[in-house]
Amino acid sequence: MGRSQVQRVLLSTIFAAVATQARAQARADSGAAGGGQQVDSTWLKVEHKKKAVTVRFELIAGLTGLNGALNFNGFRDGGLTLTVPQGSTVIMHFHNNDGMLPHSAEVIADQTPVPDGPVAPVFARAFTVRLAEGLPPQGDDTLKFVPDRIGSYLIICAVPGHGKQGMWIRMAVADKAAKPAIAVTPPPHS
Amino acid sequence: MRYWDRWGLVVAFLMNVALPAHTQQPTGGAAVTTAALEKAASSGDWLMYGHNYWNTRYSPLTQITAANVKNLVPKFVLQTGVERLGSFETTPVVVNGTMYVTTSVTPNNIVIAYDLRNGGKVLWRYEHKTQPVSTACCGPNNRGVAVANGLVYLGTLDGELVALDQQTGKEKWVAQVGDPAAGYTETMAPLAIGDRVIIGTAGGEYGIRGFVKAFNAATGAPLWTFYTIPSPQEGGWWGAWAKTTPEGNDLHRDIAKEKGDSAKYADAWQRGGGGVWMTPAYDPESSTLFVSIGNPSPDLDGSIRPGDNRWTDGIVAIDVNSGKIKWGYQTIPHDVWDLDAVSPPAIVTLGGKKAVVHAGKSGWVYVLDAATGKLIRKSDAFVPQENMFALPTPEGTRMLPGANGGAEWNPIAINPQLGYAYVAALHQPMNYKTHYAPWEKGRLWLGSAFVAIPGPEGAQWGYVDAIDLNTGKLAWQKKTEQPMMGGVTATAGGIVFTGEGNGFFDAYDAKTGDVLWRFQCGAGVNAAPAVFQLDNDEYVAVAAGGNFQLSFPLGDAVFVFGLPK
Repeated sequence: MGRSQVQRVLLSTIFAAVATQARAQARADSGAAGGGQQVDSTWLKVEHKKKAVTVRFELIAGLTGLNGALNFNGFRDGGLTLTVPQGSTVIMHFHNNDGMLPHSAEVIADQTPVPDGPVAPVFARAFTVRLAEGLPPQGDDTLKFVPDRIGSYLIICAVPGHGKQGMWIRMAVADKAAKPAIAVTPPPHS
Repeated sequence: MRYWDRWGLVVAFLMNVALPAHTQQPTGGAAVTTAALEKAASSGDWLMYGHNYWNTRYSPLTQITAANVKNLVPKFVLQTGVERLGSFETTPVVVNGTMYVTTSVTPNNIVIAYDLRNGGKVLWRYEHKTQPVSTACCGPNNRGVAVANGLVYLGTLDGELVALDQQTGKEKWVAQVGDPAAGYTETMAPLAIGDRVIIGTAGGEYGIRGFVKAFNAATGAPLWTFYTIPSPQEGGWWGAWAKTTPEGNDLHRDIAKEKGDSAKYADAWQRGGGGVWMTPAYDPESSTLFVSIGNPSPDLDGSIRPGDNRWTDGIVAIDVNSGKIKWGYQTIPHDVWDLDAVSPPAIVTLGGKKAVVHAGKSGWVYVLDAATGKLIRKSDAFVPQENMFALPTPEGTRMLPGANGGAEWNPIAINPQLGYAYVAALHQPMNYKTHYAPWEKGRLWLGSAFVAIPGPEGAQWGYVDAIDLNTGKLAWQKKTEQPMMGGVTATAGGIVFTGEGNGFFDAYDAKTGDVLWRFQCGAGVNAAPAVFQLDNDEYVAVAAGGNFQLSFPLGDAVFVFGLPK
């Protein structure tokens, strides 16, 4: 590969990366175009005690008016990904900020289409109470679970119709050395 | 109410009352005739959603009184056995001892016919194969059936109108009313009038173009469609660019900007909202339907739908034969608070003239001249109002009432002897936030967020209000523990029945508002009751199955109360 060819590949890679990032940001802004929800670093806290890792995540239903408030943390349709290391303890604090509708949350296997209601959670206790009925406005619950399998998962609102209407984000379980993170991500089908 | 008006009502009452429709004109378990429906106001049966065409929810029965209501006991507890994930909002229709009940739609629409003379035995059960619907914004529900001419009519969540054989529950015909994938769903009880069946559509949270439709009652063939959002050819939905409500409240509109933007959003009417959630009132004498029309779409973001957005938030009079509009009264032109007209209108006689009464989510009761649509009066506020018509912002604006009202879909009841309207109302402080969003087919489209306010500032409760229609003043007001969602029914026995989200079913003194009796049903009582006569006894029936949207305890039972033998 000659120098110019290397430059072309490098440039195309950079352009592709920039385009991907731009698409992701556009998607995050769209649906709500103008909403422009940004990732808030305070949503995520990580504690290390000896070899144990605890990941605390604020999961906020209906944070913004995006998608008629059918969103988590201002994102919909997989537009946000929470990455956690395998074997960590995940403590997800759920809060319903929507003033009109009940909401819930559960972690499920990656699937298309998103189910229209509750399904079996993929990790033990990775769900809020009243999964189908949802928790009322200002309702709270805590999901505490250990993601023991590497892979790609969904966090959905299991109130019938809500997940299907776009109220879901992603959760990735990476290897044990991975650093917990939250990031805007492109939706799976764009 | 003037002296002679009051006596006129009493005389009319005595001339018409008291016997069930089936004793005046036999309906048996079979056909309910047009004549019976037109006389429903004087019937001891409960023949349609609002009891009678005037939607007054006023039973002429007098056996249960303020003196003996404390003795009421459950006579039947009819558990429907359906899944409990929806709101149980049906008002039973009762024809000569047969009770027709619809369930919450979880996942299928169901109608059950109970034989009350035979211990509540199920005569038949119809289960509609309802397509999965993800466009029921506030939870799946159904509010009841219409019964006429040997058929039972049901609107389904997946946008169909179904006619069932009244004797067997078998389907006779099915008509498509709207596309559920685009947000058109049916939750209201249809209205049977002569050879036609009337039905509207829900879906104002999905960018629909609302309508009322008439179908041939015998065949299901479509007869006419009245679009609640007029097209440009029909005069457009721009309206008069009103800077205030018709009563003069400043709406804080930037009319110049709206006009400047009107070309850019010229097609907004095509998804302008205007759902019709509830059963219209009907005046047979003038062949006029009175319809309450829901919010514009998107709910809070008015910047992308310039104009008055006619006829959203309106009460509209429609000719039942042609589907043409006679008049319209927009309670809030260019609404950006979702304070729409949802509660079904009722017709009353005031000062010798017919008037249309509507309890708004705005927190006022509107009394309109039925012939002209002119405002006769607006009542005192029946819920707290604060910072009214302050514009929503991206940061959030606190305003009362919250977006559920005021009066939500809850039907009102009228006591013509007292001249009172009874309203079940909500107090839900909220912050109104705008959030731009483009329309997407079948997606919730609010252009906004309604954010509940935590802590004491956001405390929620409800009211049962009595409004004197002759003065607009509050005759009495009773606070309830939770926001009221369900509706009210009144009787000539001087009782007002309504239920609460905490499971209590209550009887109020119609004149004073004193609570005379209550019963804990074990699940939210969030439906409007029916009162009826079976042989020589008076009963009151109510669905106790909670409310999905407000997270009131869910259940599946219809309670039927009567006096002990």
